Amino acid sequence: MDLIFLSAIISILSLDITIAFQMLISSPIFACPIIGWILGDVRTGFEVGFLFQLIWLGRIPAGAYIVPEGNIASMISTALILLHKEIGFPNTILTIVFMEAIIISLIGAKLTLIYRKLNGKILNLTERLVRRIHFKFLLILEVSSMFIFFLMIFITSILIFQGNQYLLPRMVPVIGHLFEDQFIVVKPVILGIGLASIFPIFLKVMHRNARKKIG
Amino acid sequence: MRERKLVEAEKKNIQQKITKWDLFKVFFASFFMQAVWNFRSLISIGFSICFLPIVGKLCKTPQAKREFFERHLKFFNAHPYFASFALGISIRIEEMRSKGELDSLPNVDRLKDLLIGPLGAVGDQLFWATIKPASLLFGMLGIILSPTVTIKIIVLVLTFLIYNIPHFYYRYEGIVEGYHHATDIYKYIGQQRFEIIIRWYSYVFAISLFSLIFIYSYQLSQENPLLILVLLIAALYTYLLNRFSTNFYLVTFASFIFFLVVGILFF
Repeated sequence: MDLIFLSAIISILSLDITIAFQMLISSPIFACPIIGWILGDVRTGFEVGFLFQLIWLGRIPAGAYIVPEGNIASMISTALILLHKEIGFPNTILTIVFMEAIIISLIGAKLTLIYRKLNGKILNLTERLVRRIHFKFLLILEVSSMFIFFLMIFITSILIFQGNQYLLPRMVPVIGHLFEDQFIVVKPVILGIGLASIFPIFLKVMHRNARKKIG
Repeated sequence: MRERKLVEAEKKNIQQKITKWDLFKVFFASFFMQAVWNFRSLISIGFSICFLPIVGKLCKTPQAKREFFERHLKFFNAHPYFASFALGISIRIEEMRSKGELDSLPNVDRLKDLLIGPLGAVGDQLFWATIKPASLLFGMLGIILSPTVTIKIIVLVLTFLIYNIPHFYYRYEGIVEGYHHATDIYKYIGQQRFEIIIRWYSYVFAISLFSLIFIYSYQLSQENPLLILVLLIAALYTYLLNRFSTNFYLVTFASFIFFLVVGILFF
């Protein structure tokens, strides 16, 4: 599969996170099967989406808070797992890719920070255009801002895919021969971490409901 | 006499300006409201651009348009779906301004400032803390229960609808209600209005969460019963770590590495 095409799809889906639509399509349970379908294995896409969904769900993007970019991390992870599945050692690949996913979500958050700072420049430009009564360019500025984000994710995805083409074929067999059977714990651990992430929100919602009933 | 007729015709013309179709165009533009999110004015650029389809109807001269955009490019933030209430209110107030109803004209900046808190709080509580996790957990439960890919896809479609029906409804209804009730909008955005939907989605949240844990545990027991223990201890351990540190990356890494070592030692 052409990595450029794959990165473009991931970047387009990433726009749904905050920039356009926000219809949940970028969430792991939707986006990972789409990536899986593109790479010819929807079933694995569903499985990875299922495992990764809860990890980042506990972080609420309230106000100006920048959350870890888990959706981008999940899409790239699914692609990495599927692109390298012929190596074998599925538990080991999942282990390494999950650790990479945490780092990717951090990189994604940093990129969002940079992107929002860049948008400050676009605000200055917008104010200047409004003062000069050039309203036609406002839409162009909005689209340009979206394209900047697209480009940032596109380049990041390409770099991660290229890096892993070197990294995973060398690392996975070595670690896999040693620990593949032991890494059977990885799936329940990932889901367990996800449950811990969602549980505080659940408690808050239930506590609020109980308080309303008593009230 | 002729002048008066002209003024009345102009007034009538203005009164018929904003149509349902116009509001629908604003609704569509609102899907891109967070496109140029920045630290100085937050969502104000996206918010202002939502008016582009109708600004020609609200402002006749370029100077009026300039003042219009200068007013709306000031700091503004709200939950992205609930900001539509502020959109509707702004359209109404700007329409009143264009009609020359200056006596009863509320200050749009002040009204928007007052709405930042309530719209953010209600939206975050309703969508980010209730509907979103409930819908996604419902989707996860459906995926784990579905034997075939086709049924899993049907489950995803259902999940999409469960989340997006209230999403689209409040996005559109917010514009319409804001437009029709610009001056008494507080009656329509109180927490109590959303109590029923919050309660029903929190039931979905609870049922899906516990069913998911139960069914996944059952599946793990078929493979190796010890894995159930790993799942529950990993959840508890990470939950406790979260109470000590709010650093997501550190907690997730620490927990994951710890259980890898546990796996290597005991499996």
